[in-house]
Amino acid sequence: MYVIGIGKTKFGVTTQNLIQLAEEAINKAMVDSSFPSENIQAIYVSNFLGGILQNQLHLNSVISGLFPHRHLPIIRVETACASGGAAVHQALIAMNKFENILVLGVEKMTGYDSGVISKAIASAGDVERDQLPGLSFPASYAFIAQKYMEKYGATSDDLDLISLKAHYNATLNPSAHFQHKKIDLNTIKNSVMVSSPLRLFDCSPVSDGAAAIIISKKRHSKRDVEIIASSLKTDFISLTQREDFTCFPAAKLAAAEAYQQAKVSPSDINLAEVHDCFTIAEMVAMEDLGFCAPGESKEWIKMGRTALQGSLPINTDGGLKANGHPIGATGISQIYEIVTQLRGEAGSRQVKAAEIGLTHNVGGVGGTAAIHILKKINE
Amino acid sequence: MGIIKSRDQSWTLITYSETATPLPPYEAGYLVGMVENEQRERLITQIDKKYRKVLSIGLQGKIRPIENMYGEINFFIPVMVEETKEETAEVALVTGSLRGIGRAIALELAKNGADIVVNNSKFLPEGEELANEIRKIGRKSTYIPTDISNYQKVEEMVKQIIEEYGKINILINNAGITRDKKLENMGVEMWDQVISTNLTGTFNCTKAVIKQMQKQGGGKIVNISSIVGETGNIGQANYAATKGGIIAFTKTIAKEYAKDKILVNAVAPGFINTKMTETIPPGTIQDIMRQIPLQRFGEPEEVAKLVHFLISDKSNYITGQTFNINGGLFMS
Repeated sequence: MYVIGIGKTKFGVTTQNLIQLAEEAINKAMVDSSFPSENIQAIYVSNFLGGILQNQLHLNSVISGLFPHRHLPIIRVETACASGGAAVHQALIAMNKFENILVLGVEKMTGYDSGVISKAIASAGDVERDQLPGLSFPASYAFIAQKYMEKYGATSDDLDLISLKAHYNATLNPSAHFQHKKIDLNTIKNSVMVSSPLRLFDCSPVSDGAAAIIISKKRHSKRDVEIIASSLKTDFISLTQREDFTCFPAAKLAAAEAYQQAKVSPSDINLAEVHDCFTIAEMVAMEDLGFCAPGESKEWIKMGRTALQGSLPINTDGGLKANGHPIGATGISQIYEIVTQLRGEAGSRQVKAAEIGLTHNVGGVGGTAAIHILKKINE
Repeated sequence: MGIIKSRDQSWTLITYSETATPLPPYEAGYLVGMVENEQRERLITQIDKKYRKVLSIGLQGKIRPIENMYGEINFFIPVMVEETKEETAEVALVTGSLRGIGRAIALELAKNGADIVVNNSKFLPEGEELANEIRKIGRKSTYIPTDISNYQKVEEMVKQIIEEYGKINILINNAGITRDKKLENMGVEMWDQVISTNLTGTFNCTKAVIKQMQKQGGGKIVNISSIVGETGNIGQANYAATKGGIIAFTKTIAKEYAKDKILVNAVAPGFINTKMTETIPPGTIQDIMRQIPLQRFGEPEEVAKLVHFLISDKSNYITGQTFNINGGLFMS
């Protein structure tokens, strides 16, 4: 399977509504692929909060309106923050039946009170176990950070370096939420405490945005990138049901399965987009994906191994932290970045000799994990 | 609720965080933690902020269900604290607390950890709304409309508070009304009404709580007077008399009950932005403003902060005093 077209809106605060965002990303993917839209046979739509924030469910039918008189099979996929990865996974399964599928991720999150947004996002957690006693996602990841620090001796200084890297990479990404924000360590260290020990600059922002990719059975151009693995795993929804908070079993299992499918090992990966909804999540992801041993990620970060010039650049687009986190679009946007890099079209943030890239998209606190591995086609 | 498990057993705190991003309907930040029992069952709990300093991973404690906006949720009570001292919130009665200074005091005390009894003379929906707002902060609150000029009714209110909360540590005598006219035009009923609410109301509430406070080993009372009680004011013979009376009443009660560790003070606000001062004609406001060194009216929240100081541990050597809060308009 090949990714033959990609499109992405600028992430951030926009005046566009859900459908306008979707339309822009679709059009860009179409233009990018020079592929006639008549060839699209099915669509998967990833969206998390449309039902809660815009009261817009039945999104497949709404998207149908962008393809008049086509009556395409369209399905909405929702697995919280992993919706994008899950939609791609579903689309790849459906490739048994179709030749070309469009996968769209879209989210409209800005313009609401912070309480409304917190509550909407908390819907990804267990109602009775987590939501009623007031466990927000920042607090859940604060628990993870606290346990991780206790177990491995990591500190907030390590987390700060992840945030700093994300913001630097975003300055090189024209479609990033924080492209124009220059951030230094002082700003990060002095930012307000959101949920101890996590500060504001440990948290991904509330963003609008959409991203779309076109998947095809056939190669259409030299720019096409091959998808060589797709895996989706799930786990208990609540941290209270998990033994160990310092890893996500769903992500570990999905990664193992993906490496097997792709016949590659973690050391073969040249760059990765990981789900850094909070800085601590990037440290956990590096270990779940087998890039380094448990507890070692802090050393990698200090050595700059995951920076743009490092041996394994992570979140070259700025990650969820600084590229932005329009939830339904995030998983698709990660693939957008890997494809851009493997094509050699990433401009000033281009990773040299990028052959194989990985995306890691997580829902909740590891309740869902979708992993994809993509490969540049060498002539 | 399905996941509230056996509360009597011992639970261990395995992690916690102080979160500034509350999930609605919670409004203020709170401490949230995860606890585990011997069967390794785990629960998310909230933890009262008063335990912040004693919290550590591995701390033993019990689970108590507490009613809040969501229904019944679990609170973690550290055992060491529970054994040494039965820590429960302070309970404050704030009379006339539906709006203005009284409302600001009720909210300020709630934010600082007190449970609040909201009161005014006759039932109004705003009373329930305020009680709800206080519950969202995470404190208990009950709205009891009561005519404080009637001693028997005040006694019933205090009885209800003690039944419900087990105690009453703080009384804020705030309720006050105005019926302004120059003396020759002031009807006897205008005099009586103002005296009944402002002065007799203060007497009634204080008398009704004083025995309970003695029994509890102390308490704090703050009486809301006024600058007018010290300076006099044209058209306010009745109001000024009550506010001056409150200052003398404060000194007397402070002397009578100091031995019982009941501290009594008065606060005398100047011009504060409330419904009461909204009725002053714009021209007069300009005249007044010119006389205020700080060149503005005060805010109810500013008065509330002073009242909070007077009921806090920071003011334990202060009793029988009158505190002016008036932007410098009157300096005694």
